[in-house]
Amino acid sequence: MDKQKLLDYIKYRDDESCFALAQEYHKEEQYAAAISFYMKCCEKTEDKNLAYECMLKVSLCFMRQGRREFSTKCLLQQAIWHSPTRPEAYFLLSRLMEWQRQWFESYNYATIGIAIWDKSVAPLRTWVEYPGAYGLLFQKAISSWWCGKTDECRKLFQEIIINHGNDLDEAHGRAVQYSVTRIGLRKEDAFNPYDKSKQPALKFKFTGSENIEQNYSQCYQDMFILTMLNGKRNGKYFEVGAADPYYGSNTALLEKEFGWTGHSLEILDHEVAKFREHRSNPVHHVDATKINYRTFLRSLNMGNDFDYLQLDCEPPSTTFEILLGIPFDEFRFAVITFEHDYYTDITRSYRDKSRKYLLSQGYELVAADIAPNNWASFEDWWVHPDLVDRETIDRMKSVTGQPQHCEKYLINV
Amino acid sequence: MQDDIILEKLKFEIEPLLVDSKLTGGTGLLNPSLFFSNGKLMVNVRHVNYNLYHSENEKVSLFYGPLNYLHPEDDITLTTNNFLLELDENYKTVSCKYVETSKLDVRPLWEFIGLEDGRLFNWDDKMYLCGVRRDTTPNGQGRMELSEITISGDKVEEISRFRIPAPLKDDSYCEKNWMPILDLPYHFVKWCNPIEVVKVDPITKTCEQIHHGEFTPGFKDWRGGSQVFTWKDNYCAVVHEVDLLKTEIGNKDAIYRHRIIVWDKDWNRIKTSKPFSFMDGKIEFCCGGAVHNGKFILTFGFQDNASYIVAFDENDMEDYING
Repeated sequence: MDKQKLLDYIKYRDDESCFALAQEYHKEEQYAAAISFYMKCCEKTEDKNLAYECMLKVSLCFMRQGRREFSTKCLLQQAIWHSPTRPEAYFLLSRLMEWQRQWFESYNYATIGIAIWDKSVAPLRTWVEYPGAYGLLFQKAISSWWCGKTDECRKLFQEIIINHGNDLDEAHGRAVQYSVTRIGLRKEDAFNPYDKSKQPALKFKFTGSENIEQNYSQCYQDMFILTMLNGKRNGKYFEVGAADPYYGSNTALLEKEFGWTGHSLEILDHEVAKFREHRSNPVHHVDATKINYRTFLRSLNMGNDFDYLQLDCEPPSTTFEILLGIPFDEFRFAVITFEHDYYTDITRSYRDKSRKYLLSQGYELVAADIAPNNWASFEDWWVHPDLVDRETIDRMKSVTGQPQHCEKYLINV
Repeated sequence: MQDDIILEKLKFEIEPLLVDSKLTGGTGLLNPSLFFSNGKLMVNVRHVNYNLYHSENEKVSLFYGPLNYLHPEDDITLTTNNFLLELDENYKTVSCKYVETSKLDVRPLWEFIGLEDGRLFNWDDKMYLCGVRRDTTPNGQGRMELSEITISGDKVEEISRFRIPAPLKDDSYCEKNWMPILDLPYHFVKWCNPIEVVKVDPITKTCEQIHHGEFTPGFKDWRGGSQVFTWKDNYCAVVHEVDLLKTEIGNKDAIYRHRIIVWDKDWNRIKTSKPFSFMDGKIEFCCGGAVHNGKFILTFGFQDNASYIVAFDENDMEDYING
């Protein structure tokens, strides 16, 4: 401990020396002593922001000691009375309530804080665990979910990703990525099923489309594959991230109706069990990030050219990592659907990285920013120009720079 | 008239007394008591499970007003344990040992648990901590307890405990802050205005009043305080006086002030300092004093949250007391 801070306090006993000594004790985790001197400072100072900061510091000392939530809350409420247009106390209160699973209170403090926060206030002197402009949005997003406001939750996370994705500290970055990955989209927004009634409206009526009663993909991926390959029968696929054997599967229709063979990878026990029960083609129960793809693909003895490669894991960094592991110098894939999850990627980087990489491997982007709705860009669809008919590529090519509703892309709505 | 802040008045050396927060959880360290034992400077530091929250100017009062004992919200007790520190000649801590009491502890019957404000001293070659304990009856009755401790290697252990009855009828609710007289084994100054000296007998478990002086009008009650130590052939101690206050809406508040008192060997008060605080805290408390190698050394707690040892020049202190 820097004793000079103590000597300065004894000599001056002003707000600054109180604050400095309090910080010294705080640093040493001597919270009780820190509280005393923060309180001294708070009551001596004429600096309104410093008084406010001291209240927050005392509350943080209580939090670190633990089991003093009521006192913490009381202090933070007083901080709000003191400086109602500053955001930090609202954030800390909302977080405290979140920790206690008091979702309505957490939501309440976040909402009020956002509404009356004066964005011109000067920053505080020291770190008070307030992460910055996204803090209150994050709190509102988290609490809104548990208040049943799930749509609002998704919108708030989108706002955080779009406006603050690059500012997030490590902990919030991880939390946002985890949350958006877990909550996904509303089921009714996420799925765009195809059935026979839509066949007349297909932009490209590939061979055999007239016999399809329904598809299984989330966003017409299976219909896209068949479109690009004109309803190819007995094709070969390699699927990374199989999930359910039918619901949302990009390969179920290929296997069941078009006689494709292929191999799937899946990490989740229950999905593997279900897949094995309901599908004929094999699934491998593996962690897709731990595989040597060259060795694995060679071991399949399916030749060097596949008709379809699916890459769909979460989060986007994982899918990209797997992409880099595919030995494109040895194996070719006529069609690739790559899930970059741009709308949930807090780094906003993996879409562009994947594009650059696949272009360098000789692939051509046919459909960019495919979305289940009008905004949630989550996949790019690629082809190998040597393995797909050029006329089909040109006909289906759509790279607009905007999210493309999957159904509108394939169906004349 | 404003009270003195003694550290503004006199030259001093000061050191904070700390116990690793991993052992304490960062709650209060207070009311330390120093004693020179075989040339070693030892300090007992009281640790509590609470923070004293004191809004001295009532600007940021909490739910019970400006003065709150903030214990864990799922634990209503105010629990004390003690740590024994050894300091070097520069008052730096060289070791810190937990005072182990578990062999003598019984299930507490009241919310204030543990030996509070233990003064450290040696009588008849035995080391003692003597403070108040209030956990042995369901109504929180307080009695001074004389706890013998042993120090061996890394271990400090309480090996006996004597709950001292109050003198005369032993019917008072709470006895606390008796000041052990270092040169008179088993004697305490129980009260200072009027002065009352008692003698205890650990064998017969009795306590008798052996001196009772006259009340001095114009002064408040004076209570202990440090140990009573001999200084220049007289007795000396630091005592406190307290103003218990109420806020406008009835919440409690308090101000503690200290005085250094010198008595002759017949317990006539011959010098009394002005009231002072140590570091401008409204709640401070001194449990230890000694004169050693020309230094007048005191240990005190600041707002029940922090502990310090401070050393003054002995002559400066004498001048200060003489006013």
